[in-house]
Amino acid sequence: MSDNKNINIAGIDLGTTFSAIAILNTIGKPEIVPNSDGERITPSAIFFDEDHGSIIRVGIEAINSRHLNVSRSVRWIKRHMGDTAYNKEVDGKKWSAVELSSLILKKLAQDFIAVHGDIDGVVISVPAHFDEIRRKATMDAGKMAGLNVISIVNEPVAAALYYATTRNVSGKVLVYDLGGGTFDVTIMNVQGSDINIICSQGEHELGGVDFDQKVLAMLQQNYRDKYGCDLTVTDEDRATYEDESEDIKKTLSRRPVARKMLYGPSGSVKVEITQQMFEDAIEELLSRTDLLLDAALKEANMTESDIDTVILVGGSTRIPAVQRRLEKRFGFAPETTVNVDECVALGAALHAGLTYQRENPDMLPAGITTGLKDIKLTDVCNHSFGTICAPFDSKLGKRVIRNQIILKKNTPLPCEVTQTFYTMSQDQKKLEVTVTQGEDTAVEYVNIIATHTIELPSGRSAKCPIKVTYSYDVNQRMHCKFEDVEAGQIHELDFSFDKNGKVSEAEEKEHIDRMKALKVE
Amino acid sequence: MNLNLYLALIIAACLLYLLIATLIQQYRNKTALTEQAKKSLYAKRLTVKLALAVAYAGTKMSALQLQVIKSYIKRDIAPKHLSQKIACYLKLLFQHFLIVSDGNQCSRISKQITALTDLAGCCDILDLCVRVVGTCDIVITKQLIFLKNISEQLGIDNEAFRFMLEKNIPVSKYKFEDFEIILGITSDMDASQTNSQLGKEYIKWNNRITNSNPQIRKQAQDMLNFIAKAKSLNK
Repeated sequence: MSDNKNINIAGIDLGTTFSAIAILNTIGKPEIVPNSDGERITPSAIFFDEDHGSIIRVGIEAINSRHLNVSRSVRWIKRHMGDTAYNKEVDGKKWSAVELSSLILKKLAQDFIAVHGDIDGVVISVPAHFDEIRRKATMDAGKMAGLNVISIVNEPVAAALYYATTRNVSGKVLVYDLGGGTFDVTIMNVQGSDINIICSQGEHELGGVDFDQKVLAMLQQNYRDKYGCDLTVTDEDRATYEDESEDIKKTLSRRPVARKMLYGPSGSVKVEITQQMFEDAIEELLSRTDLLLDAALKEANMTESDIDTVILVGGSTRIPAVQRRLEKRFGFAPETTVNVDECVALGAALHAGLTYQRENPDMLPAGITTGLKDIKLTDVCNHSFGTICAPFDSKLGKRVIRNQIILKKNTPLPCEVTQTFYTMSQDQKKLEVTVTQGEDTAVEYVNIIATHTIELPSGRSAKCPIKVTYSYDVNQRMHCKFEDVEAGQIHELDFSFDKNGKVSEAEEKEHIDRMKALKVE
Repeated sequence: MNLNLYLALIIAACLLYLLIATLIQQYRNKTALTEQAKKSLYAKRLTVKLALAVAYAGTKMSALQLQVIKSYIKRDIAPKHLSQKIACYLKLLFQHFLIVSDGNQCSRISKQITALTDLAGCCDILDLCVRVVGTCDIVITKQLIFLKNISEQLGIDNEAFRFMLEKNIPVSKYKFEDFEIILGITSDMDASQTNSQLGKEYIKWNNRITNSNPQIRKQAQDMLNFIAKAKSLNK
């Protein structure tokens, strides 16, 4: 351990609507690093400047410019993360979700570096329910932004880590993370500095953006009722009123009524939206949060009475109806002592410190080591992983193709599981092996995240054993190997940029260099 | 219904039966059928009748429904003998075959089928019926009840039946009123059991929301909204 070494360890919350970056200070306490405008959170928005083609605006300026030209603007990119079919075309260039996310990360890093100097290692947070493809995509975005991504952490875990180490929280803790675009519930057992995750459940498309859309629908209805025509005609109109809707939602978290003038193509109208109207409009969305809570409690084999503390994370938890609903359900008020927009980034910085402590303890300054020494975090695997096989179904009297789960969801990390499968036919020449992620046995409902062909020696009889071993490390990454027992050969699968093939180091470097050359403001 | 329509129905039904019998005869002439193959072929003939009944449980038969049934006949009954002429005749026949499906008829056919074929065969039959219904723009309650009854009569469990519905019918085609059948809620469930079933369905579809197939993602998102609506109702 070195006493003099200066090391910059950071945590990033790459959010759907806002992002934040935090540093682990010299005594191992995380602190938010404000952006160049002095703001503690940065809108996850991008605008490709028309007048200055070489400049890409990220943050509040991108939000302010969006209503001028929607076609050059990007928001809520996190919802497309890992979607290889998605791209945004600007000036003939097609930007992938990973590239766009890397621009946001670049801006955060840039503002950090301006104050503290280079970042040595960073942990980026992801929603607990993000699958392997999305986790990898997030790490790739970090790499493209020129960051040394040492690990990723689940958002509710990061938040809980921060709460557990800075507030007096213990017992069974439920983290209710309702952010801009995603919703996660995590249940954990906290005893002093020992944090054991029990389970996580998440919704991919449920958050503040969806509440905004409900407000927008109300505005449009109001306008139609008055003038019989649409309030928004162009994409730019829509962008303007999407922002207005977000403002109304925020106002309704503080006051019982929000009033707004709408300026549409046929004239103006003053609208009044009450908290009750808003709550009625989002009732179905809130029902979904109830269902997710039910699911998490069931998975943890608990009831509401087993939970000692409910921690709120994410801007959407400011909605009074959300807090009221939780209080009614659990019988006590949820914990709101920490800024719900910042705790994920702060926890991610702590997680980065813990990763260094585990993997490179000699690199950590004494102050940080002392600050972190008592924290012990045990996370779980957030998805089930399996393989496709063809067992005999005695009921149907035939072989059926199905997904066989090998590594079960919520297994504590690190973990390793081996199952043995058998070849099907005499003189089988090859074996197509697949790695799946998902909870279904039906093949069409799980994602194939890697495939590999194993050549088999000729002349073999049927039913030769193939050992399949899956493991999941503490950095939330999966590893798998297929062992041809007779031949004594082990085939390890590598997860790459996309499921179709690994991107070479040269291609990866080209990606990084290209992103490095871009100017982000 | 007037006498003329009844007559038209009887004639159409007879014609269809004759047609399939002709197809089978042609097939028999070419191949020496074993007893098992005969049974199987008979079961398939009944399957077509069942599929037709299900199709007509809607308002009228569509070209798509016709296509699904024709494909089945071509593939499974008379792969090499369905000449162009017969195909055209079949099409005309289907288009004018205005039968009113009734539950008793389906029940009778289903019973005959179970005596002739195994569970795997019954699954294929129900799959055809579900696909036929899946081609409709809107699935009406009567069709859903028909399908459910057929699945019960064929000895297929509720989970397997609903799995076929999920695979073949987008939730946007259902009317919300039918949520109980779609979500596996039965009349004997109390509020707590209903909530538990909704929770099970919610977890299942939420796990599918990040599927790499955009159609499945869309179905999952629609199902989550559907379940949330049912949950609001069950509060």
